[in-house]
This record gives sequence, C-alpha cells and structure tokens, in this order.
Amino acid sequence: MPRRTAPKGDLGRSNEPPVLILTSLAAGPKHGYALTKDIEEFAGVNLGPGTLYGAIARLEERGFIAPEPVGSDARRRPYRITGEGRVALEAAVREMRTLADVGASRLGIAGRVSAGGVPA
Amino acid sequence: MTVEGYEHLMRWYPTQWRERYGDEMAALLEDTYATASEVPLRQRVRLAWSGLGERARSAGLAGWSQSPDVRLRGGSLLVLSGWAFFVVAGAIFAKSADHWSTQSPPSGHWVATGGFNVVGAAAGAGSLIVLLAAVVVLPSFVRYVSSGGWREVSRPIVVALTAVLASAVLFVVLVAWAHSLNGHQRNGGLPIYGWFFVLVSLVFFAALACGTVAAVAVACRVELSHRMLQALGIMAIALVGVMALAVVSLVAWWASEALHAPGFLAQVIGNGMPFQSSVAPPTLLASGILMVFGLALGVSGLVRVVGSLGAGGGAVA
Repeated sequence: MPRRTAPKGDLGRSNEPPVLILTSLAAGPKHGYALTKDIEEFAGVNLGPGTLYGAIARLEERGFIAPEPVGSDARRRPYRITGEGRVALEAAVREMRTLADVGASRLGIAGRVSAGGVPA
Repeated sequence: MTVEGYEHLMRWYPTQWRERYGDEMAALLEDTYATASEVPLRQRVRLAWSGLGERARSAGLAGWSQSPDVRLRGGSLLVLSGWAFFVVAGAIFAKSADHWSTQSPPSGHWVATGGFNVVGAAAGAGSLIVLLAAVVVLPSFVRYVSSGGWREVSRPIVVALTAVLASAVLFVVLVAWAHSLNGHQRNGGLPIYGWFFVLVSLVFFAALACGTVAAVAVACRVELSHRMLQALGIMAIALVGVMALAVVSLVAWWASEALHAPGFLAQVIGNGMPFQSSVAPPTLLASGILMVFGLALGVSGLVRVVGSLGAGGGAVA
C-alpha cells in the first residue's frame, strides 16, 4: 500500500501557505499578524487566520518552525524558522528555480529574467 | 468586538488546538479587525470550516501526518459511522421487501433468493463484528469511567440510552397495536397506524444516530493499545467487506426482481407513497443510496486503516 504521507521536505507549490510562511520567517521571527502583513506585501496573498495557523501547526509538527520564547505579550508569540525548515525551503526554492528556468528558456527570455522578474 | 468575542470564534476548533493556538489566533483576529466592528461573515465561515477540519484531523478522520494509531482509530470510526447508515438502509430494505418471495414468480427466483439471503446474512455478520468490537473496547471503557472520565462522555451516552429506551417502548406499542389490526389496515388501510409507524421508524433512526455518536465519543477518548487498535482495524476491514457484499447482493436482488417481478417493485413496494410506479420505488432508492453512502464512508475508513496497519504505533513515519 503506497504511503500518502508527503515526503519530509515537500512543502507544496510556491504560493502555498507553508512556502510563504517559511519564506517570511527566513527574514526573521514573526508573530501571526506580522506574518500575514509580510506575506501580503511580498506575495500579494492574504492568508486568513484559519489557513495561517493550520499551516503553522503543520510546520511546527514537522519541525520546520519553532515558537520563540514569549515576551510581555503571550498572545502574540513569534515563530522562527529551524535548520530543517531552511533545508526544506531551500529545496522548494531550487525546485521553483528549475521550473522558472525551464519556463524562461521555452519563452526565449532566458538570461533576461532576474530575481526581481522580467525586465521591461 | 471584545477578546471574549474573538475567543468565541475559536469554538469550532478542538480543545487541544484551542489550548495551543487559540489565544494567538484570537490576537491575530483582534489585530486584523481592530478597526472593524465585527469579523466579516465570510471569515467566520472560513474559521468554522478550518476548525471542523482540525477536529477531523485530531480525531484521525482526515490528514496523514498523525500517528498510525490515531489514523487506525479514526479509520475504524469512519467504518462504524458507515455501518450506521447501513443499518438504516437495511431496515428500510427489510420493511420494503417484506413478503417479496410470495409475490414474485418462480422464474429467476434463485438469484433474488440468494441476494436477499446474503443481505440478511451480511446484516447478521456486520452486527456480530460491531458487537465484538464493543466487547474489545469494553474493559478500556470501564477503566476510563472508573478513572473519572464519565463526566466527559455522560451526555452522549445518556442521550443515546434515552433514545434507545424511547425507541423500544414505541416499538412494543407498535407491535401490540399491529396484532389487533388486519393485513389491509397494517398496509396503508389505517392512515394513523401508518403515521405511527413512520414516527417509530424516525425515533429508531434517531436512537441509532445517538448511539453512533456516543460510540464515537467513547472510542475517541478511551485508551486503546496499539494491538487493540490493530484488532479493531482488522474488524473494520471485515465490516467493509460485509458492507460491499450486502450492496452487491441488494443490487442482484433488485435486478432480478426488476426483470422477473416488476409488478412487485412498482405496485407493492412503497405502497401509499408517491412516485411508486416504477422498478425503482422511492423506499428502495433511499435504501440503496444510504447503503452506497455508508459504503463510501466505510471505504474511506478502510483506506486509512489499511494505510496505517503496517506502520508502528506512536511515531509518525
């Protein structure tokens, strides 16, 4: 019987909450609200509270993120990316890069695509 | 909106989830909707959906990241829930097909007889499996209750027992009444008896639903060893096999009757109900749909059970 469990490092597509959260946390620890604002800013995706904390719980279960010690406000607990989370994000970024390279090559715009997107 | 108001929105989530993330999520809602007087309806619906999803995950009914034991338990409970639909479907079928053999011609009778008998045998075998599973869980349930767990499960159990008692009392009254009536009166000639029969059936189905809810509530909470969960998983697999056999046998019976005794299906079954003049009378259709739905639930549980049986106990692979 094939196992349905996702491979350990599999985070899903680039616009899926786990990738977005890890990308955001790669810049430093953040709490829930700061995460949603950052993700909205860099990806234009508005994660609802249910989706955000569902993904946070799954990432924490898999050891990709960890809660930081709470300061004065226990209700706004920040999270940080772990070593395993960095490895998983790196794998996801490589995969997206490969896909982007293939797409650019087939469109004939290889070499003109920078990290910031396609130049005008 | 007050902090309590935000926390109230977390009620859809399971207790453990609320204990871990409830305050943080309430704080996020507070920060997001600080300037709004209310959380938008769309967001409330999303929260309810996510919360129910987390409940399903924590019960082992959805997702694959939980331990094999949690998935085994959840898969077995899905199969048990599917069986409850089967019992309802079986009761409808048994009542609908009452005396079918005396009203059908002998041609093709062996297929219908075989199908009908196998449905009956499957019902018996399935009930035995469920009973055996209850016996396996009983010692753990007694330990759970004696260690103070009664308060957590008392409500669904008391409701289920009350519904079963009401159902039994109504059934006794129905049987006593039926003995004083003739065949015509029992089969649509006396409308008030017909309505009482429907009432008794509804109470029976409600009792079955309450019983299943109570069984799930208990099975979610009692401590069961990995070996015990494996045994329950194997019973769940057998139960799904029985359910599949019953569906195939019902279809065989139905097809045979449609071919050799369409008049029985069109004119006898569903007597007194609208849309009865076809080989697919509403009562049989309802029974078939419930059976297929129950089987679908059972198969989804079976997939979880089979996918978790070979794995170890606690740790997620």
